[in-house]
Amino acid sequence: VTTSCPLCGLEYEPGGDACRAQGCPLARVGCATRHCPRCGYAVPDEEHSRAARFIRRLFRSRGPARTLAELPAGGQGVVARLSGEGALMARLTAHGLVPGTRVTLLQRSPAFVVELGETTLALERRVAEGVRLRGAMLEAMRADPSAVTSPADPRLEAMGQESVAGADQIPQLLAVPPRERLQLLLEMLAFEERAHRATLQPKAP
Amino acid sequence: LKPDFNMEGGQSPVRRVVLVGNPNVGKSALFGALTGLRATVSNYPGTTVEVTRGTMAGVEVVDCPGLNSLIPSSEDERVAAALVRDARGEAGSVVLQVADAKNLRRALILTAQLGRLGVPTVLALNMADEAEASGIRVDAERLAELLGIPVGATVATRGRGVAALARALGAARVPRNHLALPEEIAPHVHDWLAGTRGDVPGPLAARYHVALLDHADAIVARVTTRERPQGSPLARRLGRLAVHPLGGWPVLGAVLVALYWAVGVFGAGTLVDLLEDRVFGGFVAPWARAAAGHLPWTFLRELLVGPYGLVTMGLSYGLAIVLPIVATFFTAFALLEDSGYLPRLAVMADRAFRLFGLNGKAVLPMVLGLGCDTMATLTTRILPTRKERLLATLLLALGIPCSAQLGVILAMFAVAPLPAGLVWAGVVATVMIVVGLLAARLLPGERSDFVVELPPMRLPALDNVLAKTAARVEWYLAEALPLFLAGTLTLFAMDRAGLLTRVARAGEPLVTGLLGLPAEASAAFLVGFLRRDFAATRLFDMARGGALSVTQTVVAMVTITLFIPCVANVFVIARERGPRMAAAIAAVVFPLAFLGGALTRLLMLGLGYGATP
Repeated sequence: VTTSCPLCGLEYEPGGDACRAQGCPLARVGCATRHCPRCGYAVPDEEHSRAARFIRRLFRSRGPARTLAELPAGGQGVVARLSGEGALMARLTAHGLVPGTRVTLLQRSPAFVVELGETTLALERRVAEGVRLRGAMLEAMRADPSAVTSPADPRLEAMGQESVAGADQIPQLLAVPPRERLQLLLEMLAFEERAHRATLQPKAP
Repeated sequence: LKPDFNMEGGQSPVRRVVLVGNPNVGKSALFGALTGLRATVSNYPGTTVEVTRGTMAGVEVVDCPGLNSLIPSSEDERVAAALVRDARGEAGSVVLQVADAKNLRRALILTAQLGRLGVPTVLALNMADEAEASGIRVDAERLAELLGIPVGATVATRGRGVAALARALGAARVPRNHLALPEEIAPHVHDWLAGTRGDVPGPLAARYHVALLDHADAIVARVTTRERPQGSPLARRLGRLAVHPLGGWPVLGAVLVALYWAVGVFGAGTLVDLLEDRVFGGFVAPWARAAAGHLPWTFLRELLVGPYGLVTMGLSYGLAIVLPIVATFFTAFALLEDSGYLPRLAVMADRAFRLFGLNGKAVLPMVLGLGCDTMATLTTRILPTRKERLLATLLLALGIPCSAQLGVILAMFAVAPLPAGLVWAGVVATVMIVVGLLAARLLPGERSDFVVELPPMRLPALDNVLAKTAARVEWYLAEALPLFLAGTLTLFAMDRAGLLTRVARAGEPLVTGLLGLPAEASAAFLVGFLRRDFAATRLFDMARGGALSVTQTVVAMVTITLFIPCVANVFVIARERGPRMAAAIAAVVFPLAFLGGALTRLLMLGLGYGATP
């Protein structure tokens, strides 16, 4: 990846080599600017600037939330799976937070407050990040099974199914041995990811 | 996959009822409705977890700590699970499971586990009124049919349905259990529930809970109907406000001010004045002196009513000063507890406590510490990891002034000007923060993840609050009063042997040299080892009599605040964290107290205050 210097137009790799060659002490600890090797013009390096990342986050159009921590305040989602330390998982599930639970995030600060049915839980960010939400496609599928069909999949065909026509078929499909179930789930995830990406692309006229 | 069935329990007269349920479902209220106000609080053997017992028409009733699953994840839950297991084998023991009628789903986790374990059970659908208000209707008869156990709807706070429930106890049955479990769990579940296998692997426990909840959802779907909620959302709005990123702070401030007025002003001020000056000073002490006057031996007279007498010092301290403060504090604390505010306080405090290697839950021992540090040290057990318990214990011992002390400190600054008060607060806070930051980084171990359930905000029931307070005060006196008497006896013996003045003289270089306090103050520090607030009172007397300058007052207050906690606290630390930890904490706190005092002196002199009066 190269950048072109806005001042002199030189194409260069923003590796910070020029700075290091000049013996700048900041280059070693990592600084948030890059200097053109020819003219020395400084360009901010957003990758290394916490402030820039913060501003970007403010303006970023949000895609579908993948974890509870990405949900906006007031947003809803359905838990797909929990990740984290075993004891924590045992605790969360005992509070009723299990895959398939519909959750509403009430607020994000000073702690994440999430409502599931009649239970309200307060979690810190790192716990909320471990609560993965079901993807947007699966959710759309649940809401209106006829609206979404997946492309034909040879593995599904082999099992006597042409495609995932509706959400009600998913449990049926999952009644396969664990190894195949995993494979299937991985493929569903990959499909979902493709579809997810497609929704983020600007629509063709 | 194989379904498991359970035999129905045999019948024998009920002798013991064990109350089990998720936290905040009104278990204590139901306990009170069943047993009346007479209850005893004791620790479960080998732990510091409180278990409340009472009787109902000759039947023993045991109130367990809250429990989400019989696979426990905290010491409280471990005790509750052990109590359930104890009830399993005994003829005549039944479990009365208390459920929040609104949140039947989570209660059914426990019901299914009780069924698997084979414990005769009766289910109370408590808070039926709240469920009705939020439009949730549970068909109790249908549920009883499905589970094969008696089910009754109750409103424990108003005694509704309690009598019918008590009558149903004799008909307790083992809950029916058609749950099909995944094959990797099924063979182990019984061992997990019976506690015959030590630690249950977390991921497997999680999978078990998932299966239980699936099953529970199926039952809930068949017995509940939902309508649009009616009723006032005021409590709900207040509950949201209490954790609001901005609105939460005024609420927190209001709670703290109210706590200060109740405990600091009313308890430590009005009530102590009344009891100590009027009752003890006006009646008890003169009467005791008159009675002791008839005793032939001076020694015995001194022992009872001398300056270090059992009656004039030990009893007056334990009953006239500590009792009113502890009683008002526990009342206020029980109110907070029942209102559902405490977990919300933990949410507000989470960020700040993370700096100290703790999470928001640690705020509860800290607030309790404002009442009594000894009591608060006991409650550090709610923190899951060893590191957190140690950190909280250290911070409590170092800088959280107990209510008695706080009362005297605030009174003392009524004598000193405002900037002096700020210096005191600033120095104590700085020492706490520096020590907290350092200890969080130096101690090995991890901070636990912050997960707290927020119960709905409720108006506390008066009888429940009073019963709780009474049980706690009783327990506190049983522990603290003998300690006061023993401490007084020690002081008396030292005074008689002439040790008191010798130790005071030995401490002089430290007290006068380093801190610049008058020589008499070293006696106060020695007594401070018995009780911190005792030392504070002694110094307060000196300040009021004009024996201390402003500088000396502030220096003394800082040193006393940071000083070694009272003897009772040291004992409790030794019991909870081991004698070596107690010694280590003492070794940290002692030098810090004097260092803090010395720094304060320099600061005050630098600010232009005089050294001596």
